[in-house]
Amino acid sequence: MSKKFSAMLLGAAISALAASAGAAPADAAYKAPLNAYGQPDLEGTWTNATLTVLERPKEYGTRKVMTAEEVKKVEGDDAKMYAADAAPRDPKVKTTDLPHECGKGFSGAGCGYNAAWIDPGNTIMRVNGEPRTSFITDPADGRLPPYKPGVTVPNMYMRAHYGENPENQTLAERCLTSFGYSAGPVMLPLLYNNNYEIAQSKDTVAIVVEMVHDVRMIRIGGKHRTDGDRPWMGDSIGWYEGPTLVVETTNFPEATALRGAWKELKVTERFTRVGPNRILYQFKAEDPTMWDRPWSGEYEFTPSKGRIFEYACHEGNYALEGILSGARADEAAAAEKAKAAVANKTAAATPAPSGTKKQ
Amino acid sequence: MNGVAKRGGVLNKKTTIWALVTLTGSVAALTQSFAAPTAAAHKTPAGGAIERVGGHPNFSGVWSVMNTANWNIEPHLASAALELRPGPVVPVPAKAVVALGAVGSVPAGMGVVVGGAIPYTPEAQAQRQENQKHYLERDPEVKCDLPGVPRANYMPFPFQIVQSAKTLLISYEYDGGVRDILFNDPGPPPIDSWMGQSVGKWDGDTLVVTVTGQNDSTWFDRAGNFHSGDMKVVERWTLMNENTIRYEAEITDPATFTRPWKMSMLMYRRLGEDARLQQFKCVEFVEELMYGDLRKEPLK
Repeated sequence: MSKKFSAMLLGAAISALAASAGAAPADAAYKAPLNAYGQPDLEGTWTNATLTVLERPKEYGTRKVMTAEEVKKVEGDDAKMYAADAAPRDPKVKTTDLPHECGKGFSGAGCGYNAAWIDPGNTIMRVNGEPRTSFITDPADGRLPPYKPGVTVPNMYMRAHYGENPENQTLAERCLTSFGYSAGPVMLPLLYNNNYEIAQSKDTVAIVVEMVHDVRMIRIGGKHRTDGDRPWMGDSIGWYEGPTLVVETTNFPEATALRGAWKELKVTERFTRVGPNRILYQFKAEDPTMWDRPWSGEYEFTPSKGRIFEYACHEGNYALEGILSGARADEAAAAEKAKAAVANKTAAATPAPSGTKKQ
Repeated sequence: MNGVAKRGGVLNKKTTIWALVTLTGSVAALTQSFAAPTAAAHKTPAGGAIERVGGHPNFSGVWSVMNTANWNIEPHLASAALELRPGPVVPVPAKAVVALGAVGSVPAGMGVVVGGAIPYTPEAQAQRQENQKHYLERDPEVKCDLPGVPRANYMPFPFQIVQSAKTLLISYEYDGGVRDILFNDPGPPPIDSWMGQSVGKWDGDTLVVTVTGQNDSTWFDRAGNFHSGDMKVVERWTLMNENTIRYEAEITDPATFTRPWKMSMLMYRRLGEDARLQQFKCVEFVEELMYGDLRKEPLK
């Protein structure tokens, strides 16, 4: 546990240093640098941590851009939450006395994670300087299009069989991929460790995803595989269009479906350096078996201050063992209780005469 | 042992010659490309064109060893299994691996330790024997843990180097291991890790990488060879021609060894249809081993 804990803590600390989303307006005069291969240079460590989410909260309707007041409110509330969490506490306070709601969806004694652990970003995403209400820009309401009639999206958490077998647990609990959809594609930020490193050779772009040290290997000028095999994170090929790296991914595995889509899913990503500290990331997802129309959106990567540390998940995964053995212990306790209840009932119904031996 | 020692000597001489050749080459290349980072082909006297990027040899590509160092870095004959138990006549495969038959046996190898034998302290030597006896429980590879350095480089899986003028990233097929070679030394690693911290610099045309901050949980091979958490590894990567790397790793770890010692081996470029890194996410392959007894209904 300590190893995993330290690695995660360190990751969080590094992430906390990450620069906030740049509010700089678009610089029309900016010319993206080329690398030694003559390609647009995208190298470096980058983060997409932000308070903006994939799907637009309904109150914004079809409005893509937040007002200055809305930004102030959202970012201010977030800052308040962190300040409250960081405030000194009376050492006599017990964990059970802590606030029940800890924000960011956490509740209960101790809340599992406190603010020191998490780093989902503290600012609204600016794209071209505009504060955005969501990543999705098309459809106009900033939300996924409706699923086609008859499409069912299985619950990724498979709670029906929770704790029965390792294979019933989420990929994240098993340390097979990040939780959320960090590696993507579409690459989406999550609660922490929103850090990526991009490296480019002549024929390959590698994107290191901090959680769980996954590496997306994109074959420049490559062709999609046609053998029916579906690798983790799909099968990515890429090419350069002027200042833009275009990446096309197909052959997704069912295990890492994007909002339920995998079989016919095609994701197209466009990476364009739009400023010294900004990569514009645009994405389009299409699967005609799932949706009548594609959906697309955009956000900007900004530099991560610092390098990426090792997120060795499996090596310190005591949680999976804990979940499974906890479930077994619960079952044993329940069986014991049921047995005791039956024994009590029997004893109450037929009081044994004294001197009679128990069967 | 003698033969192996001689082999080590020959290798060293050869490496020196190559270093001279590449050094001469690098002077020429420097005069061509000192101003701006460029990717340009550079002819070596051997006829193989070593591409350069940012003024340095370009290691980009998919590579793998063709040796059996991951089974045992020391010279070894083939044997019946990774873990043996006493038999009525000779040792036989341990019960847990009998069913694998010839598939579970160990291929022979000339070893990659310069001089043939690892200079263990007496206590560490005893620990290595213990490790061999309890191989199945102890080798971190059995549980799909990250392998550490140098082991990651000579596992029976390829790795891909992605290099530009300023970056050198090594992505390993086994377990998605990854190393970013840091060319700006950030100082001592703030925390230990499975793959450690790799700081690189160029010594002429040789990439020299100093790896520190590795934990004590990785091994060198499947033969129980191990190290402490204080190990320092200095790797030397030299392109001998466009398709061959001479790889050396000097191991310093006074808690385990009586003196620093070296590994030396060749790595080969994968070409054509073989030059594609696959994924070996073995974490899910070991769930039955690690958690099978915790299933609601453990398999009989």
